Amino acid sequence: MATLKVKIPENTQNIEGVATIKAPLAKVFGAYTDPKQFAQWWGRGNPMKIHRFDCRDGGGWQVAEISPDGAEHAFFGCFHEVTENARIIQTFEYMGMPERGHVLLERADFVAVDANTTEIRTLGTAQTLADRDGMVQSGAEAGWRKSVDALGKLLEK
Amino acid sequence: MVEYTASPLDLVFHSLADATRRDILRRLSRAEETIGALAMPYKMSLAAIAKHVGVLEKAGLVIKERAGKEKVVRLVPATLKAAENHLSEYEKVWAARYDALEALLANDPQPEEKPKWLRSKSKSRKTRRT
Repeated sequence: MATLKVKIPENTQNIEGVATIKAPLAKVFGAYTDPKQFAQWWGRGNPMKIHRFDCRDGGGWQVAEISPDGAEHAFFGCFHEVTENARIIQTFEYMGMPERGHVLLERADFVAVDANTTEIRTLGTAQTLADRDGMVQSGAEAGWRKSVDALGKLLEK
Repeated sequence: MVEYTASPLDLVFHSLADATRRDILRRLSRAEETIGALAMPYKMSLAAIAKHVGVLEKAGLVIKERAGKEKVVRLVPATLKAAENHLSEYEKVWAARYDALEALLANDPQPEEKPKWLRSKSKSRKTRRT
């Protein structure tokens, strides 16, 4: 199973992540840059719509995830740099926000740990601390009662 | 936002890594209970349930309070909230995403033709059109 460690450093607007995937570097990079493959994992099982996916320096992307209740959650951003098997620097924002511009600038570095293990190191920077914490905790208002079950399910894995 | 001093999160997560203790928390989320009442549905001794409650208490997830002759066990929602915040929505979403990514790649998907616009690590940025 893939592993993920997330750090939410105090006094920053950053979200840092280190994910370890049991797959070769080129395959992992391909799954990020090929829209067909991207659509198969980014939704975590939810269907995806890929409206635009111009995966190159300066290219735009816009996708939507269809949640089980049928709601469409749209996201869009810009690829700032796409360097093969090395890094993707992009912006990300949720179109459900009341105004545009609540952007996360995210850098993902892809590192081969061995022939079949890839590390993805991400550094996301939000525009404000409130934006950062909102992105980290979105859904938290669903309440602690629900949280017991969610946490339980997570820990039962 | 994610660092907490009230109760070490290790203890919280250790407490939650047990089905009986999670079940106890679910029941306490509806109403406070005595240890005797908590023990009733389980095929466990009162002492075993008391021990589970002790683990939850040490983690700060529940408190015991005297109510007349008996002690009742009550949930401390703030501790659970702290744990929930620690395992942020972001982390849950991305953990699930990376699992899906790994599962996809385990099936060895056939890549599309390699796009020409991908910048190669070895090539210079200053490629000019001829």
